[in-house]
Amino acid sequence: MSPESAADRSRAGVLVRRTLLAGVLISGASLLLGLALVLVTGAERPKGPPPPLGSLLKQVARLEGRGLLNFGLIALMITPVLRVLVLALRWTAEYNYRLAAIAFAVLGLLGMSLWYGVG
Amino acid sequence: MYTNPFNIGFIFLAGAATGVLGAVLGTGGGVFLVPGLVLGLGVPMHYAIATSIVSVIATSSAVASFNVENGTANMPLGMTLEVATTTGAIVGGAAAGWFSARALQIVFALVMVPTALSMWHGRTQKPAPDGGGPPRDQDQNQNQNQDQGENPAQDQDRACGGPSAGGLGACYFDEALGRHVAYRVERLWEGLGISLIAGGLSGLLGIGGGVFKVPALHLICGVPIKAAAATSNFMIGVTAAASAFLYYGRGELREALTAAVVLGVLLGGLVGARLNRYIQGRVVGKLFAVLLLGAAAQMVWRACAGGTS
Repeated sequence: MSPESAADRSRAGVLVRRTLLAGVLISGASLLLGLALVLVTGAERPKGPPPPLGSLLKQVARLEGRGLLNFGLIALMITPVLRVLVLALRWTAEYNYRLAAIAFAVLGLLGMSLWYGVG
Repeated sequence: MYTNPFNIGFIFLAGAATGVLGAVLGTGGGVFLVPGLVLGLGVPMHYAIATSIVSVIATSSAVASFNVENGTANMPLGMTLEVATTTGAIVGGAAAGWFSARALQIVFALVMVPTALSMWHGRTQKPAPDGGGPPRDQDQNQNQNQDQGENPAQDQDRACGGPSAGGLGACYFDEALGRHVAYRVERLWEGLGISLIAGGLSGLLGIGGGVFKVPALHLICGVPIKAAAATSNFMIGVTAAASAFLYYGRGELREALTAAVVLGVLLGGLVGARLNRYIQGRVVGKLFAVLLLGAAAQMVWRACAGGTS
């Protein structure tokens, strides 16, 4: 295994680490703020499925507790997806097309689930 | 119920306790969280599973971020197996919508049994004295004692440059051993098969699935236990995300409940990582193995008696 390969792996590892940590921090902050607002206002959860993405973003812009909670949860669920995307792009840039194809296949599966669930 | 500050505080503490246990015992925490929410707090089974699957993403993302940088997690292997785990998780997550709460409780209780046995027998994060190397003969280049005076770069070249490298094999530096450990990946198709099942159980029950993935990686694919645990942890977040979107879309993710649990689990994980140095994981593991078996029995009893949520 060449030193360049080991260095490439380390750089990919740093990229993945930053992606994961950023996702956890952003979602954690949104969940904390949203939970505090919901507890303070005492807003009950609306019945039915969660709001569409467009409505959700408007709720976030208005700093509504429920919107922030949903945003935080979606941000947390998307974090691993972004991790896969980072690796797919990284491996493509390194001309490792076999691994890149595998990563894009995983991304496709996650995208299906994301589209079906979040819309 | 989930907007009452007292209830939320209690749920936060339950999440924190799960995070501590997960860090001390080396599990994802789902096997504690779901019974804790269902039996202890009366949360309906589907909501508990949805909450657990999101908390698994949180802990996996936080822990894996360190393992990928130090090279212990085998990202190419993990990504390859994720094709299977993600597929299984989507099927499991979709199927959970068709299962009754009673059926899910019984299946969950059955899965708790091998987890409890694994804890009783002391599956820890610390490597065996030989680095937990794969149970097969290795190349002569691997697992040789480091010569006196050999520098780290020479050790890396010797350990990582042999025929064991390449493909999905990898090489990482084991701090406990003070040298690089290289390994090949074998029987990939069997590993993919078990990953598919582990992913299905993860999506169906809200657990990480590490109790199946780690032994599969180590005993079947020949990955050293430390790398197997790190790679499993790397995979768990993606596996959980695949089904989490489905639970979200069905409206089974209670936002306030999940937020309180996730924040608690993250804090508990940090505390548990520090407590790890002072606590004997094996002793705690045996204690909670017994508690898990008791909880499994209680879940089955409640499901059969019709006392489900």
